[in-house]
Amino acid sequence: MTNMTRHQISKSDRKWIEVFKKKPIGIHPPELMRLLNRLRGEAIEGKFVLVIDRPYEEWVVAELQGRGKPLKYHNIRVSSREEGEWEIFKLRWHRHTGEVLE
Amino acid sequence: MLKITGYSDQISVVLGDKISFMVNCEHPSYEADIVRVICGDVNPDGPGFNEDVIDSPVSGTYNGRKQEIYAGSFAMVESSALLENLESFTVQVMVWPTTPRKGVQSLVAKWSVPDNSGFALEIDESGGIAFLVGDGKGKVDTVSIGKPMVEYEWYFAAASYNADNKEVTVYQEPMVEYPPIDDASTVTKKVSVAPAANAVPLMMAARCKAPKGDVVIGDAYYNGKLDSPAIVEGVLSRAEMEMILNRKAPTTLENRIIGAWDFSLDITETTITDTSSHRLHGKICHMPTRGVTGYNWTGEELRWKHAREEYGAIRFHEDDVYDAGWDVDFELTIPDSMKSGIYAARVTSGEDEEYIPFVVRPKPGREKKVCFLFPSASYMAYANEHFGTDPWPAELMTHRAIELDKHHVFLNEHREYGHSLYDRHSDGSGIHISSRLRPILNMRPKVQTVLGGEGSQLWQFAADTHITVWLEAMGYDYDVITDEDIHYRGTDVLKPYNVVLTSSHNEYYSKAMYDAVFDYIHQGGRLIYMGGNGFYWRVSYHQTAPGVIEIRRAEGGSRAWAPKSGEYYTGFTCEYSGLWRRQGRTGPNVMAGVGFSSEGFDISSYYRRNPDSFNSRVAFIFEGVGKDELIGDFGLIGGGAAGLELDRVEREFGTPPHALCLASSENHTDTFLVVVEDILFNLPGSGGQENEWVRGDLCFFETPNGGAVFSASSMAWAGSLPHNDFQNNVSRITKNVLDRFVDPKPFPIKKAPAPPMKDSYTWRVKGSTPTAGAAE
Repeated sequence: MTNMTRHQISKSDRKWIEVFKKKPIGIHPPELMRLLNRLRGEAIEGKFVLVIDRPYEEWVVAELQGRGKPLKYHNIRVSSREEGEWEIFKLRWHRHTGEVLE
Repeated sequence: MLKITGYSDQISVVLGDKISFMVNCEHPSYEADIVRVICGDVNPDGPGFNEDVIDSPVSGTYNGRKQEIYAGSFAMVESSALLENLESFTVQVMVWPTTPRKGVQSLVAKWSVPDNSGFALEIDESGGIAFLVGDGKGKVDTVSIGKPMVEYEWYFAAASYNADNKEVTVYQEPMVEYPPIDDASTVTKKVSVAPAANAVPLMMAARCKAPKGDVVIGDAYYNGKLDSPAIVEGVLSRAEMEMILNRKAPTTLENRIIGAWDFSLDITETTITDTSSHRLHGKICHMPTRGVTGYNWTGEELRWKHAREEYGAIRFHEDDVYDAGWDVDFELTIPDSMKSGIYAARVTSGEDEEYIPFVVRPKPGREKKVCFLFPSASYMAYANEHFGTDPWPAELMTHRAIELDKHHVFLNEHREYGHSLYDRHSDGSGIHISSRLRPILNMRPKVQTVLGGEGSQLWQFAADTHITVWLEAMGYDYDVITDEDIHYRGTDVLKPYNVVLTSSHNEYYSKAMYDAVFDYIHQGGRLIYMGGNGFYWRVSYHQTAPGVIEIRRAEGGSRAWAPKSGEYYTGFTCEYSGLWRRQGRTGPNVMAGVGFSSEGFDISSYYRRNPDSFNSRVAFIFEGVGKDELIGDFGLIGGGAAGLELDRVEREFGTPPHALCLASSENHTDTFLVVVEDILFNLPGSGGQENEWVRGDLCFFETPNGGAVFSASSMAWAGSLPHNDFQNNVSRITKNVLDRFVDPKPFPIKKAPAPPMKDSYTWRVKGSTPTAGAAE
């Protein structure tokens, strides 16, 4: 379950994509935070995470499947946290809007 | 997935003590060594991983073997002739199931799983009460109510067996009636077999799968409460059952009781008491929760000692774990050559490795002047946390992607390793009890954590080695003692030291620990509070079972769960648990001058000097630090010295009136929010970009008899110490304080009128009343 279902992502949120891509971690404007809260406030089942493969060097994108259940790994490897944030953002954006971001 | 895990029987040892290590290794063999842990951070931007291999008899190659944890709590009574030779009998118990539909859950059973012999009162697949009989030769018969019970409701459950005609009657009666819900019934049926005698224990909340030495392996674990179980000779009427339940049986009936267990009689113990003349006492296993409300709780009393008879329930969980009970793989007798410090048994096989940390405390009489307080209680509180895999809002707190290290992935699938005091049981209830007699996979060097902040992303054990590596780099000779040493030995273990340093997050304190540290700093001791959100929760240590603590997160505070009404007092000691600041003249502000104010887990910030930092009383602290210099705008934990969890001065909560608010952090992200205990109504603008209370305050004050306190008030402070090869203003300030605190020269005190009450904003902006405090 999740409580973060109220905000419906719309075209007006598109302007935050590049803002997030440039600075995925840090102080964000309130509207971008609202968008991120919606994307990050997913239920545990299907939630995207980064799994550390080589500490501080390489991460793998995966999905939680629920309490006690094995992770579902995606064939996406990243070499920085910022890159990982962007890959997860793209997956979530697609999940919510159907749009594929490059 | 991890293939090596382990734990030790002790967390603190001294010269001559023997410590045992238990190892689970899926490889054919492994190498073991003893190492002294100096820095556990492997971040390439950090000071570098640092350990010293100790020459010890442990070094060598060992055979690997798989050792497993059999989680799940239960109560048991050893088998006896009385229990083995039952003819006609009745078994009854009050039941409060939390997961009635999860499958078979045994309630009261003398049932041997391998040969299906005996009897079992249980919840069956229907979610209702059933009675099982087995002849041990392959025949099993069941009488089932077949109606699911409602979760979190009390039921009377019973079954009688008539040996003359093999007739079984099963009862299921809810205490609360919901008119349309069909959950009450009595079913009578003849069975085809008689329950065969067996030698397995009588078990409550599980049934016996196999004995394993002193550890009984169970099966069909139950989630929920049981109250007033009893076994009585003969087939009882419903009225007679009620007399047994109410402990008002006439003598003729009372004489037929084989066992009637009153769980309220030994709440603080690991025993259960049979009140019948047979005295078939038993014990609990894997530490279920006691001191919980029973079926007859009226709500008039909140403290179980005041209404013991209303607290006759025990709450069991299928994932409770106390002692893993593994066999010992190697031992170490502490030699004279091992100075006080943080050590670990390092176990490696190929690329797999495991560290099992422990502390060598100094031999009395050989103490140094500086001591690091190893926060073993707080490590236990966070032991095997599941922040990244269980609670959905975790990423809202971190405001960045959840990162899972290897141990997180392992713990998600290996729930038998138990949980932290932040997690929830499989039935959704909060974890009240945490033990160190199991592998604690996040109390390790090298491991990263979900909450640790951008950068090294460390929390607790590994983060605290930023302090020990700094002490070594600065050339300080120091001892290490643990929370358990303080809890069991009191102020005497602190008194030899001129100064003690806390860890980055000494959050959990027992009363004995709180009193010991408080008395120390009021008897001339000096405290450097190196962290954030310390001295926050009150916990109880069990009084007879080693290595286990309990908390009830009562009625306030930033908490992962809330206890049920009437369950605010720990079962271990009947102490009112929860926040220290709610308990009289106690709490972090009283102890350290600052208390938990806000938290956030993305990026950290810096401190800016306040007017109080120019008071001559603290000139020694800022030697070499510029007037307008930002303090700690760098670091391995979130990139700044002010981050994760932050504390502020607040007279209302006990900050001494003469304390100086030296510097305050600012410019935190909006994921740093004011703590809930400071909020009466929710308001917009509680984040770091707007709210005054989202900050950490450097704080100093003198204590009686020449003592003093300096507080960093941030969990990220220690992460800035190693920056620029330890040459930075966080390191300088900490060194200035430590050098002065080591010096036994008293702080000069000049009496002055009490300053007027001020709020924390005024304190920060205008400073303390200049006349209050020390001589100029």
